[in-house]
Amino acid sequence: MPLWPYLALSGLLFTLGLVGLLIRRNAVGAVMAFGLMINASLLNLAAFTRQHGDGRGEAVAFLVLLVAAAEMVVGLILAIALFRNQKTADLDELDRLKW
Amino acid sequence: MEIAIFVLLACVCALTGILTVVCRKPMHSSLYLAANSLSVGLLCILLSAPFLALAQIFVCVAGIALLSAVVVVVLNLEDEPRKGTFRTLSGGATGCIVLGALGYFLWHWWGASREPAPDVGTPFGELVFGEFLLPVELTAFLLLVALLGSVLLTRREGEKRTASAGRSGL
Repeated sequence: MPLWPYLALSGLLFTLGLVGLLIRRNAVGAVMAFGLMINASLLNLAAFTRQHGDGRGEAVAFLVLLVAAAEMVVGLILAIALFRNQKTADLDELDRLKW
Repeated sequence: MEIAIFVLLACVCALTGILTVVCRKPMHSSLYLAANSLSVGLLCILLSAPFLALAQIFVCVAGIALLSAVVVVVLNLEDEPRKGTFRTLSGGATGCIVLGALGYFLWHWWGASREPAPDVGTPFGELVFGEFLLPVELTAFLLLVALLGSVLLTRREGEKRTASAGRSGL
C-alpha cells in the first residue's frame, strides 16, 4: 500500500487538532486537541519509518510519544492548578499575564 | 484486505478526531480522543510497527485519555459554551488554509505513489539500548522532572505552608 493515504490522514488529524486548539475555550479541551496533533505526528513518523525500511524512525517516534505524553500530563496538571486559582477552566478568562 | 482495514480505521480515526474537536461535553471529548488514539495504534500495527502501536495504546489510550476523563470528573467541568462566530470562522479558515497547504505539498512533492522499501533495519531493542541510549536516558530524566513538577503544581497552599514550616523547624 502506498504512503500517501497515511500522510493525508495524518495531515487531516493535525489540522483537526490545530482547529481544536484555536476554537476550544476549555483548557482541558485544548489539551485534548493537542493530543490529536500528537497522534498525527506519530502516524506520520510510523508511515515514514515503513517507507524507508529503517527501525530508527520507530525509535524516534517512541521517544517523541513519551515526551509528548509528559507534555500533555503537565498541561492537564496546569489546567487543574488553573481551576483551583481562577475557579474556571475557560481560557478566555486568563488575562493575568496579558499586559 | 489491507486497504479495506485501512479505510475502516481511517474513517474511525477521522470521525473520532472531528468529534473530539466538535463535541461540547469534555467527558465525551476525552472518550473520543481515546478511540482516536486506539485507531492510530491499530494503524501503526498496519504499518508494521507493533511496539509503537503497543506504546501508543498504553500511553495515549490508557494514560492520557483516561487521565483527561479523570480531570474532567475531578474539576466537574460543565458543557463548553457555544463558540463565538468569529472564533469558529477564524479557526475554520486556519484549518482550511493548513489543510490546503498540506494537500498541495502532498500532491506536488510526493507525486505518484512510491512503494515502501524492504525492512533492512536493526531490531528495535538493539536501537533503543544501543544507538539511542542517551536520548532514552534524557527522556527518562525529562519524565522524572515532569513527574516532580506535576506533584509540586498540584499541592495545595496549606500543604506548601506545612512543608516550608517543617523545613524551617517551626
